[in-house]
Amino acid sequence: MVFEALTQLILEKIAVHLGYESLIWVLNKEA
Amino acid sequence: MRTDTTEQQLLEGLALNNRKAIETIYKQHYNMVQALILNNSGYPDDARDIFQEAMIVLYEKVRSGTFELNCQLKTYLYSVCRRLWLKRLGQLQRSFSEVENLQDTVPVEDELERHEQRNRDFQVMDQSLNSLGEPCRSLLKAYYLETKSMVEIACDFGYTNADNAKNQKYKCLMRLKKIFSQNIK
Repeated sequence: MVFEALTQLILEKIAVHLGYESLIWVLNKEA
Repeated sequence: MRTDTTEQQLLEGLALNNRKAIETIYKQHYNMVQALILNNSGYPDDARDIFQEAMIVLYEKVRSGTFELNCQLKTYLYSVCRRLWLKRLGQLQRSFSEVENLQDTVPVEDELERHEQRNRDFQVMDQSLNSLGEPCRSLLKAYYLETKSMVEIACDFGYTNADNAKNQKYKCLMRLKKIFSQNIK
């Protein structure tokens, strides 16, 4: 159960990571 | 030493955000990292934070195109966690005396430097999004972080159709670009 919760947390962090990476990429492309 | 087939499959799973692969990595290696932290002035919450950050470093590595670590996964994770914990201890001004070295280590400084740069960029992005205001902040988060479609966004935000939502997204992006460029300097 502990590992499931930690896995959920890391998946959420990865989603933020991917989102910010995409945003920065788009902003640089629009430069 | 190269990663074996099973570990390689786990890394490929991690790169695809596979829940089972991530959970398996936790189950196999978390206790080792927790022992490192607890034996060196840390608390269980520190172990959780450090392991999470190490998983992101590993994720960045596998997504950069290589699934081979040239060492065992436990050696890589231990090395990253050790470096992260040393740095955290310095920031917290707690003493560090690694009585026993539980694992061999490999050099990870270059990767951690790239990771820290990325973190700094993400912090600036976070600040920029917070400065952006509503509805732009929520709209961009819905699209880029929650990966919602323009149809869903139009419905959630009350736009008449997906094209209108897309136009609004573009305007929000232009505003964000201005703020981000100022903040990143």
